[in-house]
Amino acid sequence: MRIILHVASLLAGFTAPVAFAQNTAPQTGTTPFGPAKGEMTKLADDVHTFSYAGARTLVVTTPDGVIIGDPISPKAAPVLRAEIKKLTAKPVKYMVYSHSHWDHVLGGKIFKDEGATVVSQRNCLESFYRYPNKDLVLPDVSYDQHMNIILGGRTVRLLYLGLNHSDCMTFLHVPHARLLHIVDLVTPGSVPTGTGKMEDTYLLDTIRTLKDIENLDFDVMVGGHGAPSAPKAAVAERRAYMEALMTAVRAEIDKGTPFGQIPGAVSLPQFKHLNGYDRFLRHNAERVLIFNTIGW
Amino acid sequence: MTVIRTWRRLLAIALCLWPLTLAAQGTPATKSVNVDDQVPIGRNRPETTKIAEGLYTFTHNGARNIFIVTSEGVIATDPITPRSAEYLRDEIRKVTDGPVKYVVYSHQHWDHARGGRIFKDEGATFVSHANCIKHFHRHPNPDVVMPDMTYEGSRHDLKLGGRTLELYYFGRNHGDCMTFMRIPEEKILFVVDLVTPYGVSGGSGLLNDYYPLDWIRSMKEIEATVDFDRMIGGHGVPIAPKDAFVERRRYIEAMFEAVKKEWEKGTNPFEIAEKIDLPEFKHLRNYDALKARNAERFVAYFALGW
Repeated sequence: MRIILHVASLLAGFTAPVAFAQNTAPQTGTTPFGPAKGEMTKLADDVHTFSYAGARTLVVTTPDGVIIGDPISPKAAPVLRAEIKKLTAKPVKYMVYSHSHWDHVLGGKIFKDEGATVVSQRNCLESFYRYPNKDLVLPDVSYDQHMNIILGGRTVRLLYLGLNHSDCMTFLHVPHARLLHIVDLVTPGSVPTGTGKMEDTYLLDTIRTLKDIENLDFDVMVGGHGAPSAPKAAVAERRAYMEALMTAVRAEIDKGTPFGQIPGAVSLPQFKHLNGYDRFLRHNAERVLIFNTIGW
Repeated sequence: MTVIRTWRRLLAIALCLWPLTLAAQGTPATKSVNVDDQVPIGRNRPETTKIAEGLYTFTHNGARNIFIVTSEGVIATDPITPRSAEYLRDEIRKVTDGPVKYVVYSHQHWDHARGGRIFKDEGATFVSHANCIKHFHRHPNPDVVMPDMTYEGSRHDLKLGGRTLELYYFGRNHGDCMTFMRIPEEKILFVVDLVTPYGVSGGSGLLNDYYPLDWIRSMKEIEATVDFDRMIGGHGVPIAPKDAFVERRRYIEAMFEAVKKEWEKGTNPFEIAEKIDLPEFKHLRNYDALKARNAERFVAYFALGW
């Protein structure tokens, strides 16, 4: 009976507030991911972050135009456009996709139509072609390792750090604001949520990438979900959580805990304060268990 | 009951995988052997079935492989685990004195690809699709023998002692280096993981490392272009008619369509998986226990484009 309950509780865990795209059905005040309303937050004179229904993007304004990150969705993009208009009359010149997932990259057409150059890391193209989506604008430009966008006297750096969450993740670095936009790899003050199963995440590469990020020179991170910003320490905290999770699952395996019981047996009290800990720890642990059993 | 059986099976598989992780940490190998022995009898017992002249299927640890005995030696496939490989070696010796000349990996996952060392030591050549190599390098495992030979493209024939094992590659589906193997004389196809006859997709039910659309595409392409009457799965019963393959393809197509319908209706994505019901597949083993977990992967496709 307890075994049955275990399965049931795994299924029940599939109810969470963030990290999935919106469906296309009309939505009113709220969505399963967060309030269906736009919110622009100022981080520096020329750097803002915009969130809509649980997803978050970056806006850098310059005298010659605007650089944005993900358009998020067809519903979010017009709201984002209106919010940008409150900051500047300049057009959006560049739109940079963080990665290939539809909960971030849909709805960019209005920016394309006003003349924005759409950019992504090269590997995203394969996903975009493989799974066409009518709400996706294909990139005009793709890069391999590193690209600088220089506009109106400002430089925004696009960094590719290899596999981690998907295989085409771009980290937007705004050196003059000492800020890094980190989508999905870190949601500050939180364990990996959504379903907690860490979809399309390469575990070892994610930890390696987080270490690489810790070596970059910046003070503030902006996530793709969650709070508008957080100190750089949020990156180390997520990395420490992932490492502790890997170690804890391995310890249960070594102890001989039956695999079916491992997700429920793992405990990381030092991370109890993180959002989603009680709900998602077991799902996070299940993903790590799968790594240990099939090498994926 | 089904649920309990499922979890027992999971447990059995899981327990058997324990030695791997121990070995990965440099724990003495003897301990792993003991752990293997603790696995409940039945799931653990090695068992060989003769399918046709010179064609056998072997199962241990919840996984299944095939081997072909020829006048010039043996073509073996997934060694499964170090312990499984030892049993397999004994089983092969019961039917031939010939050496194992080839070990062909179906794909890179550790529940199939570990334990080849003893065959390597007797001189076998290890074969996989070229795409597996990057995975073996990325996630090294001391129990995995690196391939000596890889093929690219969609087809490679392995010939030994007058017999042929045809290797087919259909792009990504479960992982991105899956080899399907056909025994032409018998029109039998060895299909690992994409189909476990008469069941829904098993293991934990989460469809790890599956690309849903490519899974369906690959299966349709196989049905259309590969001539086979029967199949041997990488888990489950020794052999099944092609119907089992077609049934699995119809199941995942139906699952995809059902999730798509809910998605387009605007159902809360976090509630879709539990809403899915496919009564025409109710007879499949583990349907009740795992259908929602199967469905989660399809929801993730619609949510993320992954």
